[in-house]
Amino acid sequence: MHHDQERAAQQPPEHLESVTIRFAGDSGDGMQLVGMELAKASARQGNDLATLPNYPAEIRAPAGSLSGVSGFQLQFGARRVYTPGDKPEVLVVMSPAALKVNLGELRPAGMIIANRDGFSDRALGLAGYSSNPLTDGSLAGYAVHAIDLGTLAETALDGLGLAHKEVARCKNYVALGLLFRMYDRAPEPELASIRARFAKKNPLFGEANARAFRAGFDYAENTETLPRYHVPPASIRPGRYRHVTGNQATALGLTAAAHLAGLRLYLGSYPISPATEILHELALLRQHRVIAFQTEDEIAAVTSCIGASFGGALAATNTSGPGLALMSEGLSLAVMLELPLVVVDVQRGGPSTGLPTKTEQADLLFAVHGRHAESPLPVLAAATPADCFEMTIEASRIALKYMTPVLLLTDGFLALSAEPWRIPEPAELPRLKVSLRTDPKGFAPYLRDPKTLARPWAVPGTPGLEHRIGGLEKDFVTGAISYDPVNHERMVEVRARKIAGIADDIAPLEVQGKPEGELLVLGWGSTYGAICAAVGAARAAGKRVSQAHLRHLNPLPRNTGEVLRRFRRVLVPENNAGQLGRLLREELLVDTVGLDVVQARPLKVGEIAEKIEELLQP
Amino acid sequence: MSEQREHPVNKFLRMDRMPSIWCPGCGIGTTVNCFTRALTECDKDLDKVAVVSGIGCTGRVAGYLNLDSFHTTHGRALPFATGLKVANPELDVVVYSGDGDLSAIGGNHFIHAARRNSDILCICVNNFTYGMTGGQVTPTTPEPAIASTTPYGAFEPTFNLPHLAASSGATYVARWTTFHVRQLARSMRDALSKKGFRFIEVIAPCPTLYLRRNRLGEALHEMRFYKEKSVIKHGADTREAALDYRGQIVVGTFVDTRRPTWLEAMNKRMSTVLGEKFVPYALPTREPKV
Repeated sequence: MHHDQERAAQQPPEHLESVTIRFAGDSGDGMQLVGMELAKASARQGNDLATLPNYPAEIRAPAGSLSGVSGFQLQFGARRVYTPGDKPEVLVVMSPAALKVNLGELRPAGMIIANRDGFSDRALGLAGYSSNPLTDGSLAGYAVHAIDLGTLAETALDGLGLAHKEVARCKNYVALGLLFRMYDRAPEPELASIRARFAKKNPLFGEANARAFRAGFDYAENTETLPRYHVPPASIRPGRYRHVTGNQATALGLTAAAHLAGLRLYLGSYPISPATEILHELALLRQHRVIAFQTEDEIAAVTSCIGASFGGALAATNTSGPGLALMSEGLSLAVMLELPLVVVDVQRGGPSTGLPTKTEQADLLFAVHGRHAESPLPVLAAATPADCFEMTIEASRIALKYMTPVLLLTDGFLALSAEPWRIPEPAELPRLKVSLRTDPKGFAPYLRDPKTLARPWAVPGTPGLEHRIGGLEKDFVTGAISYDPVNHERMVEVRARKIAGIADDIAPLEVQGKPEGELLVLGWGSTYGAICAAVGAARAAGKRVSQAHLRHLNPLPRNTGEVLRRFRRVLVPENNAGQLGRLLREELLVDTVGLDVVQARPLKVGEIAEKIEELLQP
Repeated sequence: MSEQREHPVNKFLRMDRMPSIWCPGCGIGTTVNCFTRALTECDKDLDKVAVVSGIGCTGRVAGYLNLDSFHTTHGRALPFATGLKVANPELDVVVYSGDGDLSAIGGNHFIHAARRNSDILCICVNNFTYGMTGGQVTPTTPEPAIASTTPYGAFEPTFNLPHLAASSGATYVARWTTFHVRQLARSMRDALSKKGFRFIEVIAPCPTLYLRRNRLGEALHEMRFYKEKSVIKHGADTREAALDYRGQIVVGTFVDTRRPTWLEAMNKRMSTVLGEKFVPYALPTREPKV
């Protein structure tokens, strides 16, 4: 036995292309924290990666209950990683409830690292287990490593003078230590990072967590009971990278857009999951010409934005479904006024309160159509967490150039999941041209630029440009209130033509793969990663399938119909009941095949791959 | 003697929009008259005054004033004005609103604008009814006044608007009637030169709906009524300024105090925490390039 162990220690770790790991525990177990730490360490190692937290709506759901289980999944790899992974190969669970909730998703023969201390009779009962799955043989198909994480923490922290409860809280770092050893990561940078994290708040906790981490690492090294793997670095474009979630990228994108336009950023916002983090981020950036104003409700959020926009700021708001519904009235006002405004809808499971922390893409038709009367506005969607940065700037560009509110759709998945993001050089970013009107000669507030059909932006306080705007219909030429029926029709037409004309100013729809053929997989929004992975695998296997992704949904790129018609079939995977399919039929008279998943979770690579397979059957 | 002199108010008005939609005897025009006098007297740079209004008869004020003006949606004048003021602090922002617009659909915005001490002058023309939509009951219609939606008489308790404003944090609170044109103009002038959330309630007649439906006579009778029933009590406790049907009308300046506006409070907090690193948010021209 001893001899075998020595040999194992000498063996180099097995090389892996990629791995998917899920951490799960009670809401207070710190699973998000250690999951994120492993992600950062993987990024330092040069792996590509994607992460996805999964947590209940309640900040502290009842401990030990099935509904209170919180999770964090990450995939890192030596190749391009498009998604946080379908089914994890490794499941780290702190409690029976965490095991019960997540076991169904673990791959066959996958590995379970369980905190044996957490499987008390009481905890087993709370999770509805009549016997202990760690010992009753029910996990026979898996590689189970039952380790006393709590006890390891207690031993390591002995003498530090911490209360029992505080010691127990460190067991997540023991688990992290195990995984560091398992995936061949050096412990030193992490030890330094743990101590730095707690240095200000409480250095004693820093020491405790560092010791707990070390205990986990040493346990794995000394016992050699866990396998060892090495995931080599991926080939990634050189540059400065940071870890970014979709919400962070959105906040940074808005700030960057205001700078690129030479304007202040005003964010009027009301808290709502999963969008609030954008408000949190921007509240920190006062020194970057940002005002983040938390209003009394979403109605005030959007209306104050319209006021700020009238006042000459780049105005933006962020919300999710129910909040967007409250903003609908204000959005129509913004359409009527023709003022620039960026609205970010971080979609979540609905209707109503629905599944507030989970993802869905079911606001698409609401975004395109959900306003009273003839009220068109541009709708965009970000494809990845980092793409939220780019698309926020694109939304701002369109809003400022065409004097219109713009809706940018992201979702709970993009908002919370993270990937490494190469920080762009300022010179790589587009300039956003803004010309505030100052010349009173020939000024009329609704006299349009003949090319863009945008009206002038005249900020109050500009001498000689006093003007009244409001929700009432305006005269086509003078902008004065007009109840003339023919004028109204003319205004409805020109507002629609302005938005439709944006199609000439956006990138055409690009096809990855052959430009025509049997099957095109067309996606929008956060399905991008899963589609890339599924189509990539199918093409590597010699299948004839192409891929395209929509980032502009209203108006659609000019060539969309033409691209779609070149394929015999078009598959549209979506996290809703087929909304893009309906939109395409309505706009282009093109029929598509849907893959509609409305389970408030991101699409899986596997289910898209299966559908591709099915559609390519002769 | 045939020389025609221009009415002094005209230069403040968009004369191309005249005649106004207001009925003969309506009190809203009287308040606009007082407002223009206040603007003249306080010597404001008119380029830097913006008027925001909501929906309804009073909402139309923005459309008739020859200033930068904004006619928003129903109840939303205050949040719009809040955003405008934050984006462009050099403007003097005035909200003109009716009782229904401000205290029913816009009630939430009202209490929060006062609580934050947004730097806005808010003028509420209270005629106890929704005029433009046909005389419905509002949060200020006293029992047992008849409205189109209370054909047997109003019965819900009302908002005492000065008290609501004061208890929510307004720094200047006054009430006048359209009989008190001089006092009202002076009050508006004073309020224009102050800072913070300033609230002036103006009791005004709606001859077409409120007076007629309640058989209260013409607007002229109403002026006589205001004259007889009004009691000037400066500094009165706003709790004692509640109105009932045809009873005493307590008027005057009830609150006149100073506390940090939203912007001042934010700048103070940030300076306290960030020290010299923090550049106070002020006029756009003074905003640092970063």
